[in-house]
Amino acid sequence: MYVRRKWFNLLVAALVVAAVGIAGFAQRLVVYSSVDEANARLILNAFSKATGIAVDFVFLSSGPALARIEAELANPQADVWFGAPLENHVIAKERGFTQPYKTLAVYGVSPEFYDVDGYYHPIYMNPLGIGINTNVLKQIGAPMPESWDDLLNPAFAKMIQYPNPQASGTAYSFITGLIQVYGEDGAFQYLRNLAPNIQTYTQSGTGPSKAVGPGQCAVGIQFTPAFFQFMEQGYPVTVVFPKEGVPYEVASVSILKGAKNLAAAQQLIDWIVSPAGQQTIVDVKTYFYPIRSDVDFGSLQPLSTIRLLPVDSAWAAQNKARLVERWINEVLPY
Amino acid sequence: MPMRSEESRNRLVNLLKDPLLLTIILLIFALLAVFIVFPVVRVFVISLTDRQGQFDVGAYTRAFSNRYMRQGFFNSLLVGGLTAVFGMLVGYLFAYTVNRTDSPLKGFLRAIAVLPIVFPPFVGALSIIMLFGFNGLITAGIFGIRNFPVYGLWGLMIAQVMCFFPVAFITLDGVISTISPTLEDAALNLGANRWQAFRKVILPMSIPGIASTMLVLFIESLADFGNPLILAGSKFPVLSVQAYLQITGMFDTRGGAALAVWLLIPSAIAFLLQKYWVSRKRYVTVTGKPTTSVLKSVSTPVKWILFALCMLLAAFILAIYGTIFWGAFVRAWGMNNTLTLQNFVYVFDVGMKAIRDTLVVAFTSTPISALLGMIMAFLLVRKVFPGRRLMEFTSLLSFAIPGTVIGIGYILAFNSPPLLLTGTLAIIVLNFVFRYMPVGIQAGVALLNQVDPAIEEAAYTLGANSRQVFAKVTLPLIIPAFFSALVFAFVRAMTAISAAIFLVSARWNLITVQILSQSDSGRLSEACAFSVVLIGIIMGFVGLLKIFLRNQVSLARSGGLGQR
Repeated sequence: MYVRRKWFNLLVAALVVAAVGIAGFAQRLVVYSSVDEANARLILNAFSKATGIAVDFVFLSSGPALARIEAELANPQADVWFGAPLENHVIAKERGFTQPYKTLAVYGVSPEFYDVDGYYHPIYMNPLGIGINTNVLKQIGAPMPESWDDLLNPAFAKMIQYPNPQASGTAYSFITGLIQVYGEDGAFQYLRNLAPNIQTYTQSGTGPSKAVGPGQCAVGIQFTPAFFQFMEQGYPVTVVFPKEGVPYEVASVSILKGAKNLAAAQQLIDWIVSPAGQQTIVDVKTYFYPIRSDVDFGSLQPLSTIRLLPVDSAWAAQNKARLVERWINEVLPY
Repeated sequence: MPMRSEESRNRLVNLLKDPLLLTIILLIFALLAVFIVFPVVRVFVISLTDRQGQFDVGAYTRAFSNRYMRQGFFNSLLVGGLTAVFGMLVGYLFAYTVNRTDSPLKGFLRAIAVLPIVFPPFVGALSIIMLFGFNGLITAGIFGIRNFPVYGLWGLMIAQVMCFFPVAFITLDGVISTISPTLEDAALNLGANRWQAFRKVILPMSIPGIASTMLVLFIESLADFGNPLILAGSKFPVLSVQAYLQITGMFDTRGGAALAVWLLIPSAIAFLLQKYWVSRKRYVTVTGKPTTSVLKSVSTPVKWILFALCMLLAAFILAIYGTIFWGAFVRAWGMNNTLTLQNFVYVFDVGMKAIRDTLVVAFTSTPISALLGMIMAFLLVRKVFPGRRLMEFTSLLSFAIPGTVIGIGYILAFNSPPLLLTGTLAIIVLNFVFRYMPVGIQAGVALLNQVDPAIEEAAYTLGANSRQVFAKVTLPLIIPAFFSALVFAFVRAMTAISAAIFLVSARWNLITVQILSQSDSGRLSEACAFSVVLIGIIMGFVGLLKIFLRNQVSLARSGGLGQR
């Protein structure tokens, strides 16, 4: 009995040592994800499988994430900010929240998508689109819109939603896109002309799709992944990219200053920008557009058929407060 | 004057003679200072400085001079005021009907009156749109109306009153149930009719409860942003949403903090008005003498009118929740009505960690919050000590600030030594404890103001100390308030989103953040399923609590305290 207990104790000790050893060598990465939870989970799980790095992440949409990163500057809780439009990562760089990393995987990526200093790196891009509930379109007797001008049709009275630019980068992209189509004064005149057709200006960037899907309004203007998600579920939604041209967002990733798991963070960036990472984004049905042209786009409408309006991120960031103020004063009262 | 100063000195001496009491008071002041005042001060400081830390009132001048923000301020007062009035009226209707009539289905009415306290963030507002929007089941489906203004004041008021009247009901139920029927009997015997008896007896004696309730509803509605975020729309701005948008949409924490401070002003004024108005009146009804009554407070026709009104409101409430359940059990809410359990499979796969985390947070913060609320109510009503009103006002502070801003305040305050809490369970628990404690305090204060101090004085005379009096006499008497504090704290811990969104971490996440994320990415039915799980957990907790506390209440009643 005594001998048996002795061996049992040795076995227990060995197991404990082994467990500690295994835990000690495992790599971890802590992520603030501004990619929505379901899609972030799909992408980051694929990253874990590919690299063996365990990922702990929490969903924080763009604004709360930036506010939180700023508040936590003295003691960062995360290693990586994953997602959120490129403009937000420009702000984070300017305010000293992030640190640079030069990845060799950018070969094959368009230069306008990434930072030459290496502070932020592209994950995917989304064009702005018009989501249309075809049942509601029949109910109100409106024609299928194909251009921004088509949305001015009185048949759409109080049947269109788009976000408040104060609330989201989505609507701000909409404004900067219209400015490239109509000029600044022309853009605001267009938005005033559109006002009678607005059911509500939503206070989140993804608000319009929640009303278009269930048929509570006819048209929503926002980035397209949620519309595709509704289509996948069987809602009578279709997506149109207006022929005058559409702005787009580039969702980016940054390594936070003070990141505790720096090597793992760098591996995430290498992987996400690589052909394998980009193909994963398509394959797991996020409905995001890859930023490399050398991957298979699957069921997504080819980018070559969409007229994309170039984005001047620096100009957009510098003029945001002024343009949003102008929208509140000149468009909202109508 | 000499008599007054001598009396004050005697009170102070008495305080010093009871070291346990003194210790508890000092401890509570310390807790309030660290976990309420400190974060609030951090918010205040940030609103008064620029990015380099220099003094700068620019955030305020920009806010006050902005027409849109002024409109938001006015709208916030309007919504807060209307919510306080109508929420109280609906709460009073239910509380009066179940306590003063012999209407049928009282258990059902009580359950309905408490149900909306679980109003799932975002999905609740979406269900109102599903019912009252362009293709709404009620507007378009029943009445053929397609232009009901669901976005704006009307839609928002439906959500706010439904969301907050249970708080009123829980408090007023406790208050009315302790008003002795013999008082009405006396009035009726002296020749008053039923209406006079109500207006002269029941209504005045309800005033402490009514005032406390309206204060809580006003402040909470001012600070709420979940419903306004979806239902108000940008043409009807409210300051709580503007504070959130300044921080999260415009990356202007200073501007958002300034708006939050602005929002504190009406809350402070409401608090002071309530204190001045109610403190001039005192109503004592629990005296320890047995009472019985065979008379009913209302005539039969009035009884049925009250019952019908309650049932109408109940049908409306059930329609809201029915819509959410419908979404949870079909493949695609509003589109594909194939029955499925797939949404729940998804919930328990993707969301299991969030569910576990939420339960840990809620079960940790709830008893602390409720018990602390009862202790503070006891101190505030029964003890006289320097800073008593300051203690009460301070406890309401974090309740009145939009959660977005208090969440950032907590990060700023506890992101470095000596109190390094970011990313931990503690920061979430502490935020919930101190943010949701005020309802317990107000409920306890309202009830204690109806209890004759003679009961407790008898215990002191017999040799009990403060702790014994609190545990053996006071707490049993205010069981209804303790119950409401537990329910409220648990529900808010389970449904909080605005502060929580800044405090969750990769290690601690919450169901509400899941609901937000799922609905944002277009998975509405999954968001509904999460909401159903949330509702189920909360209703289970409330049910268990009622069973447990009913025994306590029965014991209290068998002691001849004569509450009926």
